[in-house]
Amino acid sequence: MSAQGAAAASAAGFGRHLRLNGFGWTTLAVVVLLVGVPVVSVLVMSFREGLPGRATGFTFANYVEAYTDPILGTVVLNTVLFALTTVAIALVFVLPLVWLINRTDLPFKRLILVLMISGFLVPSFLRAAGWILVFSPQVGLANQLVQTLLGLAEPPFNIYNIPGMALVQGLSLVPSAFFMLSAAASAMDPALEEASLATGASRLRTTLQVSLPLIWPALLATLIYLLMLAVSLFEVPAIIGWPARIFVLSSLVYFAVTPNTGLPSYGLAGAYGALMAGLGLLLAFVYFRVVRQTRRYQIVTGRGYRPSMVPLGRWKVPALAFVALFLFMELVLPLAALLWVSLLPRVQPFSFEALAQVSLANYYAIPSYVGWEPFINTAILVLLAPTFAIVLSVFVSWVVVRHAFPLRGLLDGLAFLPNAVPHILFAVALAYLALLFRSWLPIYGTLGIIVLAHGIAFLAYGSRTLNGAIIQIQRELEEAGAVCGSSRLRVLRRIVLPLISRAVFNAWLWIGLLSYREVTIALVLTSAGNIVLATLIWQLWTNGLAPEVGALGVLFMLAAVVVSWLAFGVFARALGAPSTTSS
Amino acid sequence: MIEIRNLTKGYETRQGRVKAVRGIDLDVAEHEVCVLLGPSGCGKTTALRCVAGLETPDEGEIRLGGKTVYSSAGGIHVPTERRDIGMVFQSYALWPHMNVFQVVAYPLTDGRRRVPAGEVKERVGKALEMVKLGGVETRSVTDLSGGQQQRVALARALVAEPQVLLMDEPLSNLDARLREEMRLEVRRLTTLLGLTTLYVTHDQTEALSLADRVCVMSAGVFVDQGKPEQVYFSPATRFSAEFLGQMIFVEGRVTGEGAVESTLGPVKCALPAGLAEGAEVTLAMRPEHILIGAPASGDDLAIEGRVLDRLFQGDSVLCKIEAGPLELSVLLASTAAPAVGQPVSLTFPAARWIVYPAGA
Repeated sequence: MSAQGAAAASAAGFGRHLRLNGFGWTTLAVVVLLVGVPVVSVLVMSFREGLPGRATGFTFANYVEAYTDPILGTVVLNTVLFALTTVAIALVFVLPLVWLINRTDLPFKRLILVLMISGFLVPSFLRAAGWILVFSPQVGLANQLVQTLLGLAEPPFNIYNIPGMALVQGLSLVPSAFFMLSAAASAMDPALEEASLATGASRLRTTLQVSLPLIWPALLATLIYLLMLAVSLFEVPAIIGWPARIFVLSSLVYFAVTPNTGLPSYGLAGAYGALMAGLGLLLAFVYFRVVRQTRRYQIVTGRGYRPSMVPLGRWKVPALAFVALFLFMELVLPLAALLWVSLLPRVQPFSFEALAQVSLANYYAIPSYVGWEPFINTAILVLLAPTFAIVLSVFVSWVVVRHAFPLRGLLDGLAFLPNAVPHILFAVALAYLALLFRSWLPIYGTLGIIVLAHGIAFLAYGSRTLNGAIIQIQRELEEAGAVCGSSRLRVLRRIVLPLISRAVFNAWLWIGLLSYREVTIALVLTSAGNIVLATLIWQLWTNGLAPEVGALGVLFMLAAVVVSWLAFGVFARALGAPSTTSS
Repeated sequence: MIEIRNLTKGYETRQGRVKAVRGIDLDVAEHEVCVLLGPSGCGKTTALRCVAGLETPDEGEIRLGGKTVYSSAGGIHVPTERRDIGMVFQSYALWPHMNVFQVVAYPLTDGRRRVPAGEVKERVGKALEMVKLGGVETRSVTDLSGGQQQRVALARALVAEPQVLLMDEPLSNLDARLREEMRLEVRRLTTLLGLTTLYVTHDQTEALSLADRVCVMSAGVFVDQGKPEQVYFSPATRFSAEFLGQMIFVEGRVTGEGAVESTLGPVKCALPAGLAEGAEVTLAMRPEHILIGAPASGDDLAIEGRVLDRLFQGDSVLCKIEAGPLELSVLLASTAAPAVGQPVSLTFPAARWIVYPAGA
């Protein structure tokens, strides 16, 4: 072949590569822009001082300021203690729950699941607010009640400490952990256990020797995932930690960009953020290693099994009591506290005197101190954010699972980043970028930037879910479309999308609900023009308006529960029904 | 119609790169049914998928109807959707969210040759009629039996009247009785429509009964090809001889013109050219050509054997016979089968011997 011919062939080869991988490169470019650029800009901002657009050149000043401040040691220690205690508390509740619901004849399972999901819909900060209303030394309903009853000099309970924060946060993480572990438990072939029982091994021995080792990688993965969340979460540490001056990394980042006085310091936020992002990426790396291990075990066959249920016998009552205790702490207690204060003009413990003052006045007053805008903004947000996240997820998952795109591993990893890098950092980075490019893309302070940030944040969830759904579609179903003469996009539209429609809808709904209860991102990006309900409630709380928070919070919760009950699909999926089927 | 030149395709595996197809050449004429036959992993499906464009070859050239659809030298790769093909998949690949009509109409509504709605209806009806599946248009494909699904897949492949029909083990998911019925059906359709067909299977009966030409594949290359009778009666290699059906093998050494001294004794047979005296050879014969209890004549080899075991199968009896160093299974009419332990005389007709150089 002549040199010219070789050049022509390689040019043609490049053209063919582009045609074959057009979707891959386009999707990668979009994801790099949306996920990669914000993460990198956290690093960039950490090396600059001043406001975006008016910043100095390269400097280490932020790092010097952040890492020579003696408070950092305490904060890191707080963060680690908080994260570990949170995960430990979550496990204490979730492990028995997974076993009871999946492997025993516990009654009322459906009801328990419905309540647990309803609890999941309570934003963590509202749960924290509810717990404060009950256990704060100053205003806590339980404290005042017990103090009066027993005639104590000091309030007996104090929630303003790391165990208190971790308890509330741990409870909040139980539903997510429960569904992750249940998926692994229900995908385990019961024949593996039956084979052990058939050899004459006892149930206990079978559990220890067969079931636990089989589920161990999934358990480890869940554990690391929880840890990843716990080091990045902001709501509970902020609501409970601030009044007690207990800071974690996420609250330092928030303070750096929204100081009570002075100008926001994105540089300082970047310096703390780099540490958080590094920690997150490290955990994500470990997580991926463990997940790969899980695949090697091959216990997840994708089939739903109906394992035999262990009869609880006389342990049924204690088991139910345990579940009831959990649901009480997770859902009933904080909601009841919010409901109680929402009916009163000011926070006061239960008494006949207080009962006489009960009225719906706080509810009637909502329009006067809220207006319509937060409702409209919230409605727009919960419709647009999941749509944006899902559209992007469909393309990401389709390329990752089905295309021979050489960089699909990178694409998959990037799409996972919003789980590894704390949401608060994405919000800070987007605020920074929006300020930097405000003349080209004036989205700072609009609802649009919150939609964008939520879309990015939930891309990880969307692409994980849709990866699973697309893998279940037999490859030949798509190939048959191509053989019939359909372009790839048409195959996607006519064959892939209809087959994963249920998973898409479920993921859309779920992201909508996550978006609804998410407050961290909106809080960082908030301004007068883009207040949503979650940020409004937060602001009311930090201004000490507990009765108003109660009224709005109860309505906020009610709306979420009603919507998700109506869209029963979410519950059906959570109950283990397969979301899509292949042929 | 289908021209393949030096087609090569490898895969990355954990053990390194494995060549699935190692430089095959093939010409399938118009209206010809060509069957690629071989054990699993021989590369036949990979070759077919390269023709469909579902795999990108490493090297070589593929032309369909005179149009180059792949050429490594020319940097050409026409994507699947722009190749004029119809294909039947092993799993049928029927879309579970559609009904029968929608599936069969798909190539006309979403394919490369779209036609007006009225014509779609007419042609889908015709295609379903052709595969004898009228009246199920509105049923969901998941409600159909395996045989019916197979027919829907066929109708979908045929409805757009493609130049080339590709079939990837289409009958392997059917039970034995249905498979036989569908074999006749496929034969009827390919003959009726005069389709140029490339058909992949591991089932030699299917290959022999459907093909105008059989290509036997092993380890990524063709080891034999020709008309079904030719590859069956005089297979070119020991591999294809064994793969196409039962075959007994006897080792020997050439002792002269048409004479071999074998482990069964001296044998008269036609030797292929180029075998000198003293050359090691392998003699082969299909068991059904061995005569039991019949008089030997002329150059035939006759030896005595004994029935070791018999398996009554209804219309026939499978007899396991020991004869000298050989142990062979012979199918006999159930009315004439000998009892276990009974001595039998075996006659190996001289004209039926196939001779391979040793090691071939």
